[in-house]
Amino acid sequence: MDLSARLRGWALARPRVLLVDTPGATPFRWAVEADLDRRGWSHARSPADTDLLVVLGPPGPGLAAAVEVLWSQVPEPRHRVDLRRPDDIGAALDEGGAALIRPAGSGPGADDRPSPAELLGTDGDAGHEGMDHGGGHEGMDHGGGHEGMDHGGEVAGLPMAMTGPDRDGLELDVLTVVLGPVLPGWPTGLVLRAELQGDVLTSAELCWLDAASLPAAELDLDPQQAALDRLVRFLVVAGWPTAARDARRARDGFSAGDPDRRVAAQRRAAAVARRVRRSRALAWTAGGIGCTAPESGLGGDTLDRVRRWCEIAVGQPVAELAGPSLDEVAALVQGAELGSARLIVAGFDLQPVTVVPPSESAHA
Amino acid sequence: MIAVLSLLALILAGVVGLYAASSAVRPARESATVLPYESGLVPQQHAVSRYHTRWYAVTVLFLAFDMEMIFMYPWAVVVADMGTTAVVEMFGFLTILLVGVTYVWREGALRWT
Amino acid sequence: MPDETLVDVWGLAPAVLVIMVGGLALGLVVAAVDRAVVSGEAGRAVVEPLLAGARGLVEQRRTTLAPDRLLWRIGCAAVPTLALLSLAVVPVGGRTLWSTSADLVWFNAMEALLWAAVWLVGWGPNAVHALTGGYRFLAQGLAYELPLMFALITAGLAAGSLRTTDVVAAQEGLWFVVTMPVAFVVFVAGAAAFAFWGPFAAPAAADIAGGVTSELSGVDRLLVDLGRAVFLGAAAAMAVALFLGGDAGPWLPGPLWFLLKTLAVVTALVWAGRRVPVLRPDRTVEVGWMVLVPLTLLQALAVAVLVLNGFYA
Repeated sequence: MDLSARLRGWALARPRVLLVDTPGATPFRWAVEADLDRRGWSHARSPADTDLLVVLGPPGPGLAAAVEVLWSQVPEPRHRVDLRRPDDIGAALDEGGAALIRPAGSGPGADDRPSPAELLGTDGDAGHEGMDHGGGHEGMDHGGGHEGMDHGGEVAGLPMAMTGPDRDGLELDVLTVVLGPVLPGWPTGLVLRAELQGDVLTSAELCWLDAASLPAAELDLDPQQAALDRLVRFLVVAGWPTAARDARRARDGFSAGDPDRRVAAQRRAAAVARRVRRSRALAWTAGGIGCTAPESGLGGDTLDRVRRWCEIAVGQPVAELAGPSLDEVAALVQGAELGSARLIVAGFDLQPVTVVPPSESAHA
Repeated sequence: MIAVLSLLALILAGVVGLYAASSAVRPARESATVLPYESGLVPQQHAVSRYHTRWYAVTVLFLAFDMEMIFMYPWAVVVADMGTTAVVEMFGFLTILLVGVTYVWREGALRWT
Repeated sequence: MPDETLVDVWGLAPAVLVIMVGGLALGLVVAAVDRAVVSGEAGRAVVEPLLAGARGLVEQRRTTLAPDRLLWRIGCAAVPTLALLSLAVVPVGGRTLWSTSADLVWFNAMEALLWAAVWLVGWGPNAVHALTGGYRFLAQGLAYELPLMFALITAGLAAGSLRTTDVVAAQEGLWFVVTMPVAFVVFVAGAAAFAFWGPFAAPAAADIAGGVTSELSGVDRLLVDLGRAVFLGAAAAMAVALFLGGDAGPWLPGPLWFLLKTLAVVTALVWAGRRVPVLRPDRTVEVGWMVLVPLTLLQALAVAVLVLNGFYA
């Protein structure tokens, strides 16, 4: 038992963290990310990858529900840290890390995870029955009646995808999916409801979670830091971890009081901006998507917008573009492949304050 | 043959060993039954739908070429013995296939989004 | 020497053990180098993959709602299995564990079976991100597979044999990389693609929350990550055998040369691969077919002409 405890302490010395920031807590998130970088704790990509769930600030009701779902998906050993104020980040993370390593007080039987059926809000029995079948589709018949193998029947409390016309003139499955509120490199709280046929979004609708209680605009952010933060997000989505790391370090360096570190941060920002601007591979893979009309004032395509951020990041006086409305972004991602849709969204500065009449989120 | 079968057996033993070691040391023995990750919201449908592979035309093209490749392995061994005719025939055949690829490309089948 | 295998020299059990342990060590090296480049701190890079392994052991496993559990687990176990099996034809100290007249086809077959394994890992959990990742791997496979096969064949063509030890022996005068640089680069890039790593990591990319790996935890994740690292290491070792003269080199003993060259290939690959973002499969397919296939064919033609002129004889 001692060996197992030691192994656990060793394995979780650097836990992987799933960070959920509430809208409006941007400098708070930066501080936490800087602390994580100092510790060498990396960011989890999905709940399955997570040891420590860190929630910044009090989430609104919608986001809180999402956090509950995420928390139910994290495998043991797991620990959840709710950070309320920026002043005790270090201590709270220390405590979170220690709690992970501590032998579980609750026995293995006391897993308080809600079952999928509970989360889906379906009848407990029905959900359970479907889950026990390892092979998958046997649960099909529980809805009774005419469904059988027909699409539209429920399996384990969830319906199968319906069919719909495709742009290739075929009748194909349409899968309803949701991107957001919590995804790597995604503005937390943004929800993209989409229909997928294969890897192409055939319809898209964007809204903010908890749209009724969004905070006021954060006007006091340093523009260089904000541009670097957007770059980090974009580079994470573009799958460029080394550049994302450098941009994040540059951003965090600007927060330091020490003038030497600020100079180093400026140098680092210049280096990463040059790398991103000059990258032919990035231009090739992220170019030509998210194209907007010149008169819309949204700055060309995704690559143009990212290159503009690079200029702001090194301190050049470039005017910030107006934020697009969510409808404009939704129109751009419609018909795009999933990967390019992610890049298009990451290529905009979407702040929760670019609101959204309540009617738009009524669909939720 | 016996060597590679022994290697396979050892690998499988290693995989089983890892599962066994894990179930010996991990605190939570039973696997957690969870909803699939859909960025924090609950899924509305099962994901395993009939996925529309828009690149299906490429798969057919690939199949044609892949069959060709099977011929190329033995061909590579005998080129030195058979001389120029082997090379001319093989690359003549490949050129015909490449014409097909160019046609498919011009039809736009290599871009699907 | 040509037909003598590791088994003949060392006996069955030691030879099999050496390949297994060597493969795992190679995977560890790949993971450590990758870690060092990504995190920018070399100090803990060797420990990190070991910690990740330990984490895989102590972490709880997960099942999702209505998964295809059997196929899912088969896929997870198949990834490292295929990676280690592909090492059976990689020469260590001038000899392979298994020597047939079609070694290159074996290596190719292991990598082709990976298509099924990775797709199953994506299909199994009944989750949209994983499923998308699985299909991305197949789409990417359509782009890299043919150039990779042409690169393999080019090496076999010059040697006049598909046996890896023969290919190594044929490079006594001149390393194949000199006359077939395109095939070498394509092979190494193909290695990154079938290990879905670096610029070809789209099947497991952050934009789909880790794709095929997004629902994996515990041992299942450990197996898949291990398999990817071992595959990348095995491919680097194979590249050394096929293009960089295997264990040829002055002064130092052969196996040491082989190790050093493999390390050099791994380091160069990781360094170069982490300098670029992930390339989207829907764009790489076009390049694969319209640029790489003709290019590797031209390479094969050039080598065939050299063969006819008795250049490699």
